[in-house]
Amino acid sequence: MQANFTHLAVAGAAVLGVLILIAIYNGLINKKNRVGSAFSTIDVLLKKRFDLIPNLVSAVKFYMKHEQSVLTQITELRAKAMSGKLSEAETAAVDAQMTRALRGLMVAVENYPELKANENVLQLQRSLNEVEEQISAARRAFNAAVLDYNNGVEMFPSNVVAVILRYRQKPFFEIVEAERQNVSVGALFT
Amino acid sequence: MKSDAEFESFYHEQLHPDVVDIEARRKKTARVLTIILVVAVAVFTVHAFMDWSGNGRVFNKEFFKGRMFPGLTLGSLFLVVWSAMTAGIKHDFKEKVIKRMIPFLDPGLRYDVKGFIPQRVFEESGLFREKPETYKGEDLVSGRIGKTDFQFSELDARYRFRGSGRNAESRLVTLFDGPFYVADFNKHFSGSTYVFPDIGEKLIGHVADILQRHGHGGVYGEFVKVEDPEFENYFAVYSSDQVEARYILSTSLMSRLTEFRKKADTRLSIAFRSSKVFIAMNTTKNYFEVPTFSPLDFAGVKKYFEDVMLVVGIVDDLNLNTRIWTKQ
Repeated sequence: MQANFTHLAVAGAAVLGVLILIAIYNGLINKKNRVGSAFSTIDVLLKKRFDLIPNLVSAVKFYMKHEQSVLTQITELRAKAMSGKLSEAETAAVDAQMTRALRGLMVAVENYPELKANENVLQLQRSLNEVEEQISAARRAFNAAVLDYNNGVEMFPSNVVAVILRYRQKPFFEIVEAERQNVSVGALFT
Repeated sequence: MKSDAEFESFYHEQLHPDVVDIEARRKKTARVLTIILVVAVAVFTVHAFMDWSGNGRVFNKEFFKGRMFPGLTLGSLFLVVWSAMTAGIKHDFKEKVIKRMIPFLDPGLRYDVKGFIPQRVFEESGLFREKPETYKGEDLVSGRIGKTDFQFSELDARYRFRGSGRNAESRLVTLFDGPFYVADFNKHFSGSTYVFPDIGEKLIGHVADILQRHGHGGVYGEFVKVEDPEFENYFAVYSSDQVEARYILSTSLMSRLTEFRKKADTRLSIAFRSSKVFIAMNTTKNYFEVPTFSPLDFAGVKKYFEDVMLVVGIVDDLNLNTRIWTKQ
């Protein structure tokens, strides 16, 4: 009788252990996939931004004689991003450079009254603003997913499973400061 | 917005005579009501006393029945009288004081005593998942500030609660009773994002997070963990889309909502849906009612003005007039 009870207890514990392991394993997979899904959302929005660029460049380049280098940089960055498969780190780097370049361009538009009055340019600025904010939101969502995943990889007990799966921490997406941009772009519309 | 000085001169020029008049009537009414109350209590006590000396018995079913019924009748009669006597004062206060105060705050605003936010707008918010069976309201303030249209009113929505089982009781339960606000939002978005009061304030951080994940969620969407710790203290966010929630709740808007929450000093349930923002305020305070038993003076009226400013100021507080995206 006693032996049977012990066997039952051990079996029960083993089953419970397995269930917990499965839950942890699935949890980690879920977190990893959420990071992947969040990244592809960023990718989609980056593409949306890239699509705006040819129109924007052609709309402003006639007037913006002094900003040719910025325009060239933007065009080149776009070509680089659209060319082939960039790694996650490279995508993040190009995104950061592009964000800064575009921001610089928008500030420069301030000095050209003909552009500020141009309906087409205004519409492009609004669309660009919107996609920039959406990209910003996507970066934040990505970072939240990465935080969750990194927590799973580092904290006990899921770190044990993570080591077995060879899951490593992922890097965050760089957030280019948002607040100053809103101020300078807002001024463009007054 | 108007400064204190501007309000003071407006008050003295426009409102003071009417306020004095209403206050005089209020005082008289309060006096009369107090007398009635005292007399009623006296009569009732005497009645009860007479019952006592009747028999030797102290505790008697009949005695109670005899006492309760007239007691309740007297009580309800008193409330009816109270309501009737103050109706005139309340009406005049709204028509003469509030109605003039609101266009003073901004000429683009209107006040409709009997008006209220339409039921379909209330339901559009998606904040309350039961369909109201009765729906009424009052004190509608509406208009446009800059580029933003908004509406604000008191609402009283009740739904039919059906119990389960054989003795299924069915009664009307309050769904929402209080001030409700809706305004045009300054960004386009397609899903719905909800910001609820954070119930995890009492629980310890991490545990609260887990609970919240499985809490409201489901109906209202996925839990969204945001970065602003002060905001997270007050609110919990649920949304149909993680990215859209963050697009709406920019770092700037989150800190603005936190500031507004502190200013309003009451629990808020907020919804972002159909390109609008809805705010349901969990407060028992009735915005434009004149209390019968406290004096009405400049300070009192100013408080009403500050309440209205708080609501109208939401457009500026949440920066809704900044239209630098595709929505204009």
